[in-house]
Amino acid sequence: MKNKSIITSLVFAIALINSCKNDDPAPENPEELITTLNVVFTPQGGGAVITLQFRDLDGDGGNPPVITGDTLAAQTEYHTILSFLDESTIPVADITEEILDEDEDHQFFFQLSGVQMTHTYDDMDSNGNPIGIVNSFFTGDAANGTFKVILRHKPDKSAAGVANGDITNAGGETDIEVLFPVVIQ
Amino acid sequence: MRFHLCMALWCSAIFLHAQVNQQCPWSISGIVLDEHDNASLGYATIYIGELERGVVSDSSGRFLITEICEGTYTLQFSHIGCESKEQVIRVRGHENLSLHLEHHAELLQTIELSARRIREAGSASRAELDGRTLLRSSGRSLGEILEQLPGVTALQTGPTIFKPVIHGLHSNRVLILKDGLRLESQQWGLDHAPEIDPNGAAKISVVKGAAAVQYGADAVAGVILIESADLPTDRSRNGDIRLTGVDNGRQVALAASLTQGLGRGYGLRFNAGVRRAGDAHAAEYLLTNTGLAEMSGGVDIGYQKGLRNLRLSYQLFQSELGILRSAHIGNLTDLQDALTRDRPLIIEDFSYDIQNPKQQVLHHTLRIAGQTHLEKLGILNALYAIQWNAREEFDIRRGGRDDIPALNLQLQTHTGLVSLAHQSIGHLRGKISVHWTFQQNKNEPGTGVRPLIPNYTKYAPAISWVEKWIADDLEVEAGLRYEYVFLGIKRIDAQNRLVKPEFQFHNFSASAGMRYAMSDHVAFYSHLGSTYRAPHVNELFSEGLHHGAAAIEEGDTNLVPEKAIKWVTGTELRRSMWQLDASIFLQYIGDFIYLLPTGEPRLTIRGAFPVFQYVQDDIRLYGAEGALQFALAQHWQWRSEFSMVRAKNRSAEEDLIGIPSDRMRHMILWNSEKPALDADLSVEYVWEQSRAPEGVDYAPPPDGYLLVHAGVGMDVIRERMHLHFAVRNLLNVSYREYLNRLRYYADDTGRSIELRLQYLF
Repeated sequence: MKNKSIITSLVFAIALINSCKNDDPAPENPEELITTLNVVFTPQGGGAVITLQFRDLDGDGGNPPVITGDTLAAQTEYHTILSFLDESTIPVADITEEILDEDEDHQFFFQLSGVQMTHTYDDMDSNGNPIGIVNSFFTGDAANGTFKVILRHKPDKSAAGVANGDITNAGGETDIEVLFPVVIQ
Repeated sequence: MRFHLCMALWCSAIFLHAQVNQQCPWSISGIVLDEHDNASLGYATIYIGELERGVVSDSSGRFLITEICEGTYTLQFSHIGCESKEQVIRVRGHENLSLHLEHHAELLQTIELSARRIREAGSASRAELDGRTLLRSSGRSLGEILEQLPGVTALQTGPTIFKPVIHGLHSNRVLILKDGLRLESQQWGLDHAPEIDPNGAAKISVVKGAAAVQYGADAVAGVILIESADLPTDRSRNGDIRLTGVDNGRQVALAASLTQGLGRGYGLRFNAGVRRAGDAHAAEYLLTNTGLAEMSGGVDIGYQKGLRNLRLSYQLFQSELGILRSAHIGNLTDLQDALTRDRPLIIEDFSYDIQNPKQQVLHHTLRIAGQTHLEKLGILNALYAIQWNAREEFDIRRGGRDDIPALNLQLQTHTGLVSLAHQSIGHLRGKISVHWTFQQNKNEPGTGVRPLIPNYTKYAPAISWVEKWIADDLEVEAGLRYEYVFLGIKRIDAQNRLVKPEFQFHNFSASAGMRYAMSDHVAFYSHLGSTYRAPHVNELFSEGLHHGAAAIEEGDTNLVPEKAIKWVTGTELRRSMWQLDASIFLQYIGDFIYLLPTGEPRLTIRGAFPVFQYVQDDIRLYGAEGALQFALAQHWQWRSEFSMVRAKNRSAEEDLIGIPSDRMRHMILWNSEKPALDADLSVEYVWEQSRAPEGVDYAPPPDGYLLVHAGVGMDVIRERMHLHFAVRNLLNVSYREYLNRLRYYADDTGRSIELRLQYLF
């Protein structure tokens, strides 16, 4: 009786071991990857379109990202649009859509250092709060500095100052934080 | 379940009533005789296990035990030079018995030895949680319960996730064994709590020496042993129901077990438990999303006849744990923002909801174990078990991906163990064991995140041999173990190619120890153990961003096994008015594997992250702990405990990160037998960790803190129904513990009022 149960359990064990399939893992597609951020400045009164770009085609790790700054004209009104891509897949995935689908949960903030620009949000989510994909910037006097783009996921858009672009009380977690070198001349 | 509980309460009320009137009027009297010549045996010991009391027969072998209630009792009786015996008796009135013992004066020495309980290897440095403490810890997790032992602390992730830390080390360096089977789960993760429900365990103990020879190569710091009770062989039935309510987190826990003897040596046990909690409360605010939902259950079937037995068991453990919402951060800037705030950013109204980030864990254990006696050889034990562990971790994600786990691991482990405890050769007893482990880890596809650790297959056969020499006042033991580890990895590299590196490791362990009892009051022990620990897959291959820690962790495939030597020595002093247990330890670990910041941050679209790499260096640890207990007056006792650990990296002479700070606890206890009532008040002080390395941690170690706890316990029905009321952190102190990984974001748990009701039948 006892020997029989031991044998049965051993057979059970061997069967289980053999059932472990010898399957190889497939590459996991990092769906939330953003490889590319473009900030496109179009002067209202006509002129050259300026693009700031962050590009890291292999994602986190591997090769370092390439960050391209540019030169903006002083005392100029720019219409500024942000776009996001995942260029690691074919076809290239447009992440901007994904962010706009959850516009209440996302807001962009812009931080300047060394240069002067006034910023206005030109878009609104379904609650009437700003998003920051479409913006206006009016550049100040000639200077060298940096332009930082921050995307907060699940910020508190109703907190004090947040609707005006002040990140202090926004909370949430940072999905994007990129620093571009810029020149105003 | 609610109905049964009400029934239990109702029944117990009737019992209580009956008990008060009864006053246990009966007695057991009799004589102890030699089986061969009916000569009376004077000074024999007669002990009633159920009542935990006994008497010694007079010079003519007669004895009397009074104040016995009606019921069934097991009498254990023994006499010097005789094999002790047990007899079950039913008491309905004044019972008179003749007890017979087999008396062989010429075999005195041998029989004394076999009657003595043989301690397991490494047991010299073993600390055990007593039944009272276990009973009063219902509704807590394993790691939280173990914190009550000196020298054991917990690595916490918020109020619900506790990982045991022994002498400053944890995770891959602590083994957890339940009934001789090693828990196989994703224990490498600092926020992965052990998948074991401690409620209903008959015994929980910690071996703080390097006990690798007996239990497995990874026991660098120590071993946690959880043992369940034996199954009955007669037709007896017993069980328990434990109900726990805690105001903090509005936690409710219910655990029940039923043991039924089926006769002819067959026995059965069912156990089940549920635990549910909402957001815990720090002293000043709610810790949003720190709820938990836990469920466990199982069945045991056993057969026992003499020295032969066979036991089949299945256990399930399932838990869902919320991680503090405010601890979910995107990058280093968020972490720095969190550090400047004195309260977490997100504080919502109380809720039982468990939102992302959260963990879902499922653990199945199916095992069969048997024992048989082989003539002239000894006792042969065999165990085979399958463990299946599924871990899913959910993050806050974009694009409606919240329901897709960001980590989805399935671990399947087969364990085999055959051991022979050979018959004693003179004073020598020993055990030879063959262990065998086969393990497969698989990342379930579809997470949309590159796996943190790769798929792998592990094959680890081992052989060990322990011998113990036992004399009256001296025990000496020595053991050896060899383990071969084969690791076959399957991973996708950065260029999306499948690579299959293979590793082989050889782990050697050795130990030697002794225990010397100078008298009944004074004993010394010393234990020296050495072991290798092969690098774990996470240390070899970890890659990518660790969200909670805002750090990138990188493995190193060139790591070699750690080589540890640990020496534990201590003393036990027992006097009628006081007792002292004190020990020191010294440990040297060659090629200790740990995370070191590379100093070169990596730039990503989320900003720059610090990069930590697994490196190796020699380290040394030492420490001491002690417990002193003395009787202040009748009914009054005092207990003091202290523990400290020091750890330094040998080449740079730098302190190690994440070592528990010094702590002490003082407790005053009052108890009375009639009525069975006790109360305690304790003060716990934890020093600030002043020995943390500079510039490695995100925030300096938090200040020291002082907590006051109090409790009252009473038997509503003697030995049957017990009520316990306790308040932890009585003064509602705001504090942060250095070993709580969420200390960057929020305070630790505030005042907690606990009520426990236990009914045993």
